[in-house]
Amino acid sequence: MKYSKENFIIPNIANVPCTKERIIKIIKFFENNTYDIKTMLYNNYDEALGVTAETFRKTINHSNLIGIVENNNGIYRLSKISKDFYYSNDRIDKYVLTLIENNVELSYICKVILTILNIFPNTIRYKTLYSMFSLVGKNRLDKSSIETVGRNLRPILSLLSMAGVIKKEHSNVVIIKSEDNKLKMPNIQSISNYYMKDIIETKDISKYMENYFEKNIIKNILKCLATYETSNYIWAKSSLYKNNGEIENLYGEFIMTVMRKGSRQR
Amino acid sequence: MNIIIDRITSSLDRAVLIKDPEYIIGEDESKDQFKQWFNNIYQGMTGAVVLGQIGNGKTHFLRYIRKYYRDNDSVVGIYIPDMLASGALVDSLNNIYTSFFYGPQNYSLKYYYDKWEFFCENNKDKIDELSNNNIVRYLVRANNKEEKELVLDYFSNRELFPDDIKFMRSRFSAKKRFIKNENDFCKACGDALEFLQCITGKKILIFIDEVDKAYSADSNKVCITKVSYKILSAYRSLFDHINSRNIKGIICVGATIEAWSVLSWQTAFERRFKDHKIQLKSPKSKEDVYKFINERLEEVGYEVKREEHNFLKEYVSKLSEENMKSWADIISELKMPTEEKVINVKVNDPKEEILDVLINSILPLSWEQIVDRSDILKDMYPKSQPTRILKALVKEGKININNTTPLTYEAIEVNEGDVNE
Repeated sequence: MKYSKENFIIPNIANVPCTKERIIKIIKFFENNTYDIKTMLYNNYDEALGVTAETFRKTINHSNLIGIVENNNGIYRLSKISKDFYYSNDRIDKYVLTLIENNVELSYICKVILTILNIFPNTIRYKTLYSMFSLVGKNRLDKSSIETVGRNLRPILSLLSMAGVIKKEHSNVVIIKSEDNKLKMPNIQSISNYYMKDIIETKDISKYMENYFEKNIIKNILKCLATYETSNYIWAKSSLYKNNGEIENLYGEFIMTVMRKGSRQR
Repeated sequence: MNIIIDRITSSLDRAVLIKDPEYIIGEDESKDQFKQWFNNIYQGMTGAVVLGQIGNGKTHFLRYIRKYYRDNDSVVGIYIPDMLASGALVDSLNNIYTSFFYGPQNYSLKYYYDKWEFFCENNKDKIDELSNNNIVRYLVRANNKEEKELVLDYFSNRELFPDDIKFMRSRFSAKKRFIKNENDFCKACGDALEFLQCITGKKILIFIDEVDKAYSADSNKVCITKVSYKILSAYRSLFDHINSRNIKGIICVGATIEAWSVLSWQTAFERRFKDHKIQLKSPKSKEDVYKFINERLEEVGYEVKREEHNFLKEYVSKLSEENMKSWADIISELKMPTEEKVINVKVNDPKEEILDVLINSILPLSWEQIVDRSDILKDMYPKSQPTRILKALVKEGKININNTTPLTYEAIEVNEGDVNE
């Protein structure tokens, strides 16, 4: 299956609890009970969480969107997944992973990120991800759009980090290699391994990416990578080629070849 | 403080090398790597390649390394400015050979006259071993200093005067041109390098620049020109020929990443270099830029005062990191500081788009209907309507929201007054 533009659209879940502390607090609010928002506010749950009433409302709503709680006509209760986790005292990373896997939208977004991280290992900048999702998902790159994407993507990255799939290091997302295949990702080769070369032409990169992404979005994905991913790769400005599959990065520079940094020999 | 900025700007007017550079910034790793290869030359020639984008300092690196090792008196360093000198094949091969001796800051064979004399005196037994070397053969037959220097000029492929050509013909049966094909080219280069290695006892470092010229971006397809194929094959033969004569050293080629990628289709050529690659640093760091400015100011004789150092550091820290991919970018930026590079994507204004749809509609429209009529809005707002933007349009007096279910929107027409008053 190939990822399309739809998989780059981020749901509005900016206030979803995405730290261990907050998730546990929310779960403990409910346990086996059901509440409506009014009652929860009356019980000062917003204060317990350290947020305003308005933010608390959004937090519960977003928790519903990702499956921590369920909503039945305005009455909230813990979802089955949350109850199973809480009462069996299971590991929180497994719980968060299950939440992601059970949410179609979320799991596609996470798979998109992991696919890119596998093709261009091992890290990717937040900036690259925000631009990518903004440009592909909304065809926009203005400041407001990137900020919105960032607000909604950051909690997803936190959840992925809690699930043990990625690490967050400075302003980078780093993939964690592990034995168990989380998110049931297929085995994806990096671009250097696939072509068995250090220097790869962008038209070959586009071709390889067609295995995982629909053709019409690849150009925009590569635009963002070619602009911001300069710590791991040299996206060399073209001096030879014209109209031969070059990518134009976001600064109007034409890139024809990519070289992995540090691929020196003895 | 403007004085220092002016000096920086004017010092950057010259962007090409006049002579071998005495410094290089930010390439410690590359230098160490080269040193490692240099220290491991035990026999034959090692092939190495220096990769960098256009304007990233390949020529600078090649000539810096040549100077560094030559100054330490440990090598014969030859810089070939143009790997694929233009013209027909024979002319091109001759030009390449000539550049061994007349390229920037290279020494012609005549420069080594004294070394030859010394070698002759002290190594009579070795001369026999070199009986197949044309340069040695001719030198041995030359009678005096004048004739020997002429021989050395001849083998440096220098344009000789008619009298001298006549002399060479009569004494040695020498032809005007001794390189007429690839084989001659290999033999001549081999003889010259063997000669140099024997009389100096030093390793030979050859630096070859401008590999990119191999290509013609013809008819939408980058391909190697016919002459270039032949020259590449000549270089390949040269590499093997030099090896077979036990000449020790490094051949180091400078290429853009792109050019090297195309060249790697010529696997027979590329394989002699592929295990020894240096990548020039990209992007550069602000620290690099600061060091560069200091070096360049020193070059133009400007002494940076103590209070100016902090100013410089601040000046550099304000530069945009997006403009630091290559030295060419940095020099442009320093000469003409620009705003942070502008992202080049057309940004649609949602307000204008919404107004356009509403103005052109006879009836009020719901959000779903609006989006239906605009692909741009459909892209921008895949989920729900942009409430904030719609409220702003109301505030600006441009649209009305009707309290229907679902909500509908209509543009407020601005009457420009009746024609008949």
